[in-house]
Amino acid sequence: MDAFDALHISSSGLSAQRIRMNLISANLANANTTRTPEGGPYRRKEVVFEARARAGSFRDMLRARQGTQAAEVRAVKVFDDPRPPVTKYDPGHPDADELGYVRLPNVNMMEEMVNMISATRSYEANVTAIKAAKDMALKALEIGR
Amino acid sequence: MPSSQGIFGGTIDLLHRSMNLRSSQHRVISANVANADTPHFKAFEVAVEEELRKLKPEASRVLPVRTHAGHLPVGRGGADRVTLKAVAPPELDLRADGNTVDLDRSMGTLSENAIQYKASAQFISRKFKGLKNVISGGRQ
Repeated sequence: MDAFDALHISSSGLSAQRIRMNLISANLANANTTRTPEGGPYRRKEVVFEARARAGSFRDMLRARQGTQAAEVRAVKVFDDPRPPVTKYDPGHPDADELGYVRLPNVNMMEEMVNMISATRSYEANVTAIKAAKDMALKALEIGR
Repeated sequence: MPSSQGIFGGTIDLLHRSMNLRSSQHRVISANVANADTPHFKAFEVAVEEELRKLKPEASRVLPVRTHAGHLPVGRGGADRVTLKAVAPPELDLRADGNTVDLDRSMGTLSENAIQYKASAQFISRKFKGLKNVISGGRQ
């Protein structure tokens, strides 16, 4: 099933980048959110990707262990950015502390924009790879014609 | 059936079955994509390879024939039924509606399926072309 492995691996890439894009959207949308269910301001979220072999047969698993098997990408975990929140002096804000400082999310617009472009480009790259894999398979069919 | 013996050699049967399964697979994936936003919808797929493996080309096999639509299928008679398997849900899911459809993965499976269908169709047409060639004595 090697011809179609490429297709499925690229699909996993699409899926992973879509999750990444969703988190970037969430970060941008909540760039000024000061209230969350866990208390405190919103914390920037990011996703952890992991390379995982396409688990088909025993041979696939063995090859994966030896590192000679092409791997899919899987989103495995969402984590909060550990950087501290940004503080802003705004005594009129209902969420300001006794000194008048409001804790705002640790979201950096520039960073998110760059990540967004990167996610979009990665998605496009995967789409291109899928198209190429498809074209290859279809070209192979033309041999028999 | 005589088509599983002699000149057809089981190839036509196998390809026929493969095309049938591929078209069911296409329908199932289309249903998944259509329900991409239905809460609690679980994505399904046809286990095409497993289904094909069930059908071993054995020329000497005696097959029961159903003479009534109400008869229970015996042996290969059940071949017109396909078993569906649930698509494994993603480990990390940002959506809370219980839906397990992954649009990107579905598209991958869909294009693989389309190519496999085309391949089967082409093989079957080649097979017939060859037979025709023999019948016409190579004159076309």
